[in-house]
Amino acid sequence: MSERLTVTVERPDQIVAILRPDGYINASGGEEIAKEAYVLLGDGVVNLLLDLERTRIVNSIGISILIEILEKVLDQKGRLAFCRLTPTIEKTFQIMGLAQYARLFPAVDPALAWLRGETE
Amino acid sequence: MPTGDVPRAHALLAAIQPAGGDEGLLLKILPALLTGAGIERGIAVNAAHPDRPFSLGLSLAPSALHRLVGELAQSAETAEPANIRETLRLAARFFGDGPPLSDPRVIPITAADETLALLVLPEPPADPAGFASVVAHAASILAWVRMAEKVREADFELKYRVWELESLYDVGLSIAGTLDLESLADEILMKSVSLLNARSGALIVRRRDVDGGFYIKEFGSAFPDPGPGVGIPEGVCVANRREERPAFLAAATAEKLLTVPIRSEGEPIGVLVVGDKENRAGGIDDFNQADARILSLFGNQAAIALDNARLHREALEKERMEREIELAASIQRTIIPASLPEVEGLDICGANRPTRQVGGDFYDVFPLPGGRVAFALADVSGKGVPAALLVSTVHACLHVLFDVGRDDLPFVVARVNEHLLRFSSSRKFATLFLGIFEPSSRVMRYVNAGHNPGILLSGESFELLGPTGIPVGMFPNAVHKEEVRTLRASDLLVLYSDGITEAQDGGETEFGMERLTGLVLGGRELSPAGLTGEIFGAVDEFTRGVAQYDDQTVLVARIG
Repeated sequence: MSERLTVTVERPDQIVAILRPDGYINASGGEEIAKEAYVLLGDGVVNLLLDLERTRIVNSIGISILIEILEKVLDQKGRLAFCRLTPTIEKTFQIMGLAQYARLFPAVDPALAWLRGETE
Repeated sequence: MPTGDVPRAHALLAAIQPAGGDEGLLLKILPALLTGAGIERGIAVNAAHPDRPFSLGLSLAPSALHRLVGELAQSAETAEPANIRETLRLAARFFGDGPPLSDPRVIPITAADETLALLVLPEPPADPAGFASVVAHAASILAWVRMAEKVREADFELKYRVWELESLYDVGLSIAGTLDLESLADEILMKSVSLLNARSGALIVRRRDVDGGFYIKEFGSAFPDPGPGVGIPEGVCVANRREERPAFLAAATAEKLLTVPIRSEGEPIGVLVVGDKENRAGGIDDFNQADARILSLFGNQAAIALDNARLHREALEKERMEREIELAASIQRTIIPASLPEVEGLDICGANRPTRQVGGDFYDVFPLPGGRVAFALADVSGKGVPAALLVSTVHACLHVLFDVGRDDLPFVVARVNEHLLRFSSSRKFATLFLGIFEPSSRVMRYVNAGHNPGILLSGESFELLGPTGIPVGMFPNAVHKEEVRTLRASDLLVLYSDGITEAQDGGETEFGMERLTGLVLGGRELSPAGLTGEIFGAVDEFTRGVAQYDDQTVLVARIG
């Protein structure tokens, strides 16, 4: 009985979507996120924000799934951003290379602005 | 005989974009291969992922396809002739649902002597030589993608190792930077679970404040308190089966466990445990020795954190005790008189040596109306601040009562007794020798509330002035009798605390009354100050530097 991750999705417009995972980003947690992300990509929403305010732990399988999501987003010429990461997760993303192609933000608004192309 | 379109097959292969990994790459390659072979149906099996076959032109249910191709892949794993023949036999079964097979073929797609995939065709390709070039082209694409995947995996592995090292480094920094055990336990646990791809974990440490109880920080699943009497595992335990797990973790709900001990001063005081190492497919893998090494590093970090926290607690406690001792000493310093008042007809000297632990001795001299003088020597129970406060209470009581003119000693002692019973905590009491001397008549009245006998030396004889009642603060309505002595000029009165008579040498022999009385008799010609110094000197010579645990107080008066 592991800590199960849940994901809520918010679509403020047709350009971006916000995914809010709550729990451990591991194999099952990562798949939950991927499932929602691929539905959005299938709907043509290619700019995704993962708000990690309610995530305090991630493992390497979860990271590999996030990398797969990132690759699919980039395949579709989209953007992927993360916001409100704990310092530990932010450092992990830096080390594991996620921050190389996705952007990390301290808050939601600047992340949305970047995803909408309003900032660089 | 089918007709293959080799140039078009090469064109199809050249158009493939292998970006994004090789998943589904065979699905992109298979049409080109069939075009090159001039055949409409076929199966491709990736040797790296035999569980994910691809087919074209077949209408088999996915489950049947999966099962049969799994068998194909297994039998053709080494692409040896015997295996190829077996593969063909299975292929015949596989294609049996369609048109009859005249000459089925299994074609290994190889690069650098490695079988990357298998292509299963129901009949030979139309142009074997041309088709061979198409297969070689397909093999080069697969090999390139495979190499890219290996590089990616190596890159990920390298980054993972950096992550591992950084995590250990971060925990080390946290240990150095904080003594908040709760947050450190959380950090160590989260990092252990995360780096070992575990689903759950716990830090379980014996609590020092609860006999047999454990502090448990858990994540992901339940790690119940093992209960009293269950031994803490002393070594690393890789328990991939339930029967391998230690009794300490018998009730943990995870299927597979990895446990390392946490030691303090060489003794196991708890464990760091993770449960259920997950894999990418969603299953659970076995823990291995490499996992055990990583977890042991975190276990060592946890041990250091716990030791640091314990040492810090002990340092704080020591500091608190030293502050208390200093406070008690300062209270006592304000009570012990810096100098005694000049009294006509009486030469008096007192001295007190508090021990390191600060006890509760005090003495004082109170001038009274009519040239009389009251004197007191008391010893309160306990040590430190509580004892010092009790001294302060007794001292204040005496001052107030004498200041308001009460000189009826049994009454004064009774009031002190009541006051202590009412306002002091239980089991606090004091012994007290309290007297009043009237120089004009040389009459001394005294009450001895459970204190050591005073020594009254008169001429060649001496008398011990023993207790006339019990210590104050013990029982209500205690009766303290007053005694009266008429003294003569040159008589000597010596009061002292038990810190003098009970001072011990290295063999735990006490200084004793006999030595003290002998000393007083031998020093009868000395001044009170001289005799006081003589007594302390004799005690020091007797104890020879052995630490003493009780205050030493002496009050000597010579009648003028």
